[in-house]
Amino acid sequence: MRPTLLGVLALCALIPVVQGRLDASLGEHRDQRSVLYLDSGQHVRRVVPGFEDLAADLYWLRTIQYYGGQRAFANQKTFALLRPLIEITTALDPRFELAYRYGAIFMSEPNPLGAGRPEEGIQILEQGVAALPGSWRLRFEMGSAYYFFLRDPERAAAALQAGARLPEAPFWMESLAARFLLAQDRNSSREIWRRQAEMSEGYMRENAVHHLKLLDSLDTRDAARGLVERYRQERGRLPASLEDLVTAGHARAVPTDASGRPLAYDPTTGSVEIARDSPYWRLRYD
Amino acid sequence: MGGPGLSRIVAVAANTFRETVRERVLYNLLFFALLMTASSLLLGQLSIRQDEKIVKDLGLASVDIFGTVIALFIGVGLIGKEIERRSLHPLLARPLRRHEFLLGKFVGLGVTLLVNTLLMSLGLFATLLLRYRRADPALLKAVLAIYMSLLLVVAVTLFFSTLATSTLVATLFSLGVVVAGRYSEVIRNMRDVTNVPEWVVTGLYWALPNFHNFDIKTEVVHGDPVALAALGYMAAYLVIYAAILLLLAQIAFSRRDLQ
Repeated sequence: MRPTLLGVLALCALIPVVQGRLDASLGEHRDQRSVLYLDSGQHVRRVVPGFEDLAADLYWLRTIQYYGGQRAFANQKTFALLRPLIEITTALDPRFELAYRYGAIFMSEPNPLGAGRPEEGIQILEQGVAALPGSWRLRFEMGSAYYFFLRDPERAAAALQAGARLPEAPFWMESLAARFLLAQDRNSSREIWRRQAEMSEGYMRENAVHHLKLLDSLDTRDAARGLVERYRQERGRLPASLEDLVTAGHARAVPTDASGRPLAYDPTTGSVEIARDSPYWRLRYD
Repeated sequence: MGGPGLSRIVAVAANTFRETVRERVLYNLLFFALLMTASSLLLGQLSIRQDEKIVKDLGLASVDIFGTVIALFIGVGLIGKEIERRSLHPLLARPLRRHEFLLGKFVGLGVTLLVNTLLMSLGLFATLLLRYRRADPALLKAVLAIYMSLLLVVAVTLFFSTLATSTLVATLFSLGVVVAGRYSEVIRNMRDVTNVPEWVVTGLYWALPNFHNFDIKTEVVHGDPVALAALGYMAAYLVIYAAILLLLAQIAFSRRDLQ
């Protein structure tokens, strides 16, 4: 008995060693070659009669893992299976509101953060609205998607107005819709992200807070540009560095973005940008 | 059935309960406890704040799956094993009628499943209360519906174990009927997509035990109201269907040559 037990323990101890070697030779985080053997929710339904909700949960977990895996590890971030995974999840549980909401964002975020296919993101939300006609949150997501990803304030406002008419809709949806129609400005964006942060948790909340800080960083950058221009008009030359703005009394401190990194300044052209190593740097901000 | 008959049924039921517990059937509860603990701790990170829904889905599905597996595999052995081991003969030599023996077996496994279902539900409620500080009492409706479906599974397995000469055959037939009963919606929809005569499809739909009737997990987890009347109709369906199966089982069992 004792030699057998010792043998088992010895073999158990070998597992981490062999696993370590495998990880070293194959790579600890390999690009997942995911395959969907059942590519339609109706097919999956047939396989799990009576357990559709549990299957939806499992497919939702798989969707999140797939999205995270593509975002973090994939060389070519095609997000090819994202749409089918979301469709299977929502076909198995058509009332899985969060799957429509987050699924649409995963689809709409520009590549490499997401699949970069906002039209498909909106299609997912439309399916959600058909399944859950009383959900104002889905209308809000649709308005956000039209506004941010498709630059279509009219359809964004229409989605919000439709949501505002629902019984449990918050009071601010109507005014937000009106603001969309008046101007596509940074304050409107800030309002949406603020509402998003208030009504979300987890990843969605983090995402909303990130965008709010990005907008703050853009405000700081624009203010710094104004100060550089004021300095130039007063002194007839560009400041040598942003510290000169402090020395001249135009600013109390060297302007930084929301992460605390100093803004990038080019003394030859006078341009002020968010630094490239900042989490708020973007190639384009429109 | 008089007083002595009832006491004999109770005696068989108590014996069946002890026997199933001795077979370590309730060990599945340990696995269930681990599953609930692990899922409540890990799913928050993995599911983006959908962990409460998933814990409910997982808990109810576990009650359903574990219960069905126990009902199927213990149920088919209740009669078959007694015959194969020839332990039935001394029992029937006593003043114990075959239908009393059959009913006692049904009640005994029913009690085992009741204990199993209750303990699992307690585990689910404890997980929800400890992790999320709330537990929806409406979940009990889904649990009750699942328990009724388990009793129907026991009736199916007892029916086939009195008909079939081997436990394997009884298992295969019972499994087939239980799985087919979960596809009752698909069978009903066959009217529209196949050339099979409508009366055949309808007949099959009526004849197979409709386990879909007892599935209200989705409604309960999403917070939809489930009328008590619906639970009443489920109970009526169970009583009628189980009575038919047990009566047929009794006929088969009474005619069976046990030598």
